[in-house]
Amino acid sequence: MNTLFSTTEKSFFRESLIKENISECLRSDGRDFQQLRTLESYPSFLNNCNGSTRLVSQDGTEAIVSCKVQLLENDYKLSEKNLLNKLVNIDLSIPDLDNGNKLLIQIEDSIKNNVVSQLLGTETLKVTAKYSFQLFIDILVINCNSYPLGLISLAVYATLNNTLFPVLLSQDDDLLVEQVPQFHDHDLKLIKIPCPVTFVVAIFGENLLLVDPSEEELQTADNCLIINYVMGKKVVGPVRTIQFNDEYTKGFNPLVLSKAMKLIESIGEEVLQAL
Amino acid sequence: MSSSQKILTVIKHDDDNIKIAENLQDFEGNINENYVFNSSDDDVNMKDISDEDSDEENIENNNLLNQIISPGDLVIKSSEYMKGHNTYTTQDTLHSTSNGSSDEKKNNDEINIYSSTLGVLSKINKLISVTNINKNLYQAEIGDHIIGQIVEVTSTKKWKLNINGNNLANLQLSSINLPGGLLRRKNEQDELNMKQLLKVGDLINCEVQGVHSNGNDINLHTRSLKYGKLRNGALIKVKMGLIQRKKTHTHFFNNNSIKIILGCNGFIWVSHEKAAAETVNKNKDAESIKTDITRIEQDTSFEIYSDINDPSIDLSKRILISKYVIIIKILAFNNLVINEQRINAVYELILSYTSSNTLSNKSSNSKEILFVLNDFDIMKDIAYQLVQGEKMRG
Repeated sequence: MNTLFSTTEKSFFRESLIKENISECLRSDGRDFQQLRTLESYPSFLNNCNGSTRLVSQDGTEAIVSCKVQLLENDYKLSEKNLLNKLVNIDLSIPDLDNGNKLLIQIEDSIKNNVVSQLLGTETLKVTAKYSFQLFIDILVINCNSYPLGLISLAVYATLNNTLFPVLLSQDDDLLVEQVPQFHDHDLKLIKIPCPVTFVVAIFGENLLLVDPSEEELQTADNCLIINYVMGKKVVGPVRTIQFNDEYTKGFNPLVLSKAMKLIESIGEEVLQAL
Repeated sequence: MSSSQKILTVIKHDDDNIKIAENLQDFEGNINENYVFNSSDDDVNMKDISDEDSDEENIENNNLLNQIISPGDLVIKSSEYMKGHNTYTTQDTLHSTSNGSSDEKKNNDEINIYSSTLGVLSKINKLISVTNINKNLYQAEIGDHIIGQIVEVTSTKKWKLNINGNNLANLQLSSINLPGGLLRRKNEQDELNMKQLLKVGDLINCEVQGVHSNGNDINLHTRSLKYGKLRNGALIKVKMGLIQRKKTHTHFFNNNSIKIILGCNGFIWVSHEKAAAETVNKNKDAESIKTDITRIEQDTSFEIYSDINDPSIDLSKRILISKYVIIIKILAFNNLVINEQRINAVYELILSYTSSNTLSNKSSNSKEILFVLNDFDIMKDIAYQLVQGEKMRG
């Protein structure tokens, strides 16, 4: 991250993207405007986790996500949201950034909110009346060459879709009976946890929107949007903006927002299916 | 065109799970071996220390000085030595317990010094450090044509440049051409203007002027019109070994419209070059009006330090630049040495790709071909064809 570019390089990249006619714009790596970078994926590659994914992006950034499941006794004093916040634990580490880094906390929060928001009102993690599954999602990003949120969220999505949970053998109603739930020794089942995928969209001028911008595009964009998409053709909140440069950053036309959402709605499903 | 219209291409490695498990086992085996090796080494040291204290240094020299140390290896276990570059220490309780009860007292004030890089040991008095022998770092030689990026403007009439080496290189104010082409001693005013000439982040095309103190102190110069600030293009970083030292590192392609500078330090600059005809005309004008020669020289040298790209670069030229960037990426991806012949050969292969795979859309929108070429399989395929072609020719 924070690769140093020379002024002339930046203006060269920006000049190729700021054109009145969209057909004259060109991304530096030749991608289509709505095209994501090619990914290499290694699903379920860790044996000692309930679910894991390794995604390698074309620019060399590598996201490794593992998910472990534990049993936790419910605390009835907590509200549903607080309980879920306790049940979903996210730990993100990027070797280049130290622990208290603003960017790190922001990415961590954004992923956590995404997972929690989709679990609210559902009983996906509930085992019995007294016990719930607790998720520990560990994320490691190595060789981080550009803003990794998009890659991380794809990896988390893929992980939560291949996470296997132990099968309950004992009764699921233990409110009156004092009993610790018992699980099958070997049998595991797949519980799909819905999780939104985050897209980073770079805004160039009035018309041009770039999905999954590379580092040089981030550093020359007017502004960037963070948009969450969940399966079933809809964009869910919050939509946020983020800036990566001081030189070119400026406000944008609100109409761009709706355009960006439509764009994400149109490509979201294909991306999720490709994973 | 199916692959270029795909929004996300994912290459899945489902079958590799077993392999990874096997690799992990191998890896664990290796660790065990290393550990045994390490501990036996320690034992030797321990014995020596307890037996004859006077011979300690000799034996350490024999053990460690002729050896390549990998990251995480125990370099030395002692209370006397200090840790230097590329080493670290830990409070390793496991080690001390495994070494047996007799040594426990000694271990209390001993520290373990580990290496954090691949390299060879160097010892100056009581300072232990490891010298990096990473081949991906650039070792400067006098006369090399390289590309550097400015990371610091110092107050001592110097720019510090990142040249992909162990240390930063120096570009002295006295070894650049002043705007205006004047040949004179640089004064204080020039020192104040340093930031206007070259800023942090600027890419400089330069030559190694001198290497001092065992390759740690590198001086650069740009005292020629072919060197200077780089514009109108994009930088690619490749592995050091992919570029060989040649007579010339500046190559022209596609009717001289594309200039590629293969820096010896693994930085490659692909840029657009103004059509040759224009410069020829300029020269002719200059010849005819001899009095204006100096003025033209001044104009060109002022241009050297401008930050503005040539506005005449249109879409087709940009596509061409991107194409050459991808060609270099293909070569680097396949670990093939990058030179003029290969770039030309790959360019021809790409042309055939364009006509065979994407007949329908080729003329209307040639930028769509670019992403097709980013595909790993196609990259491998092109390299295979290239190597086959070279074999045929011998």
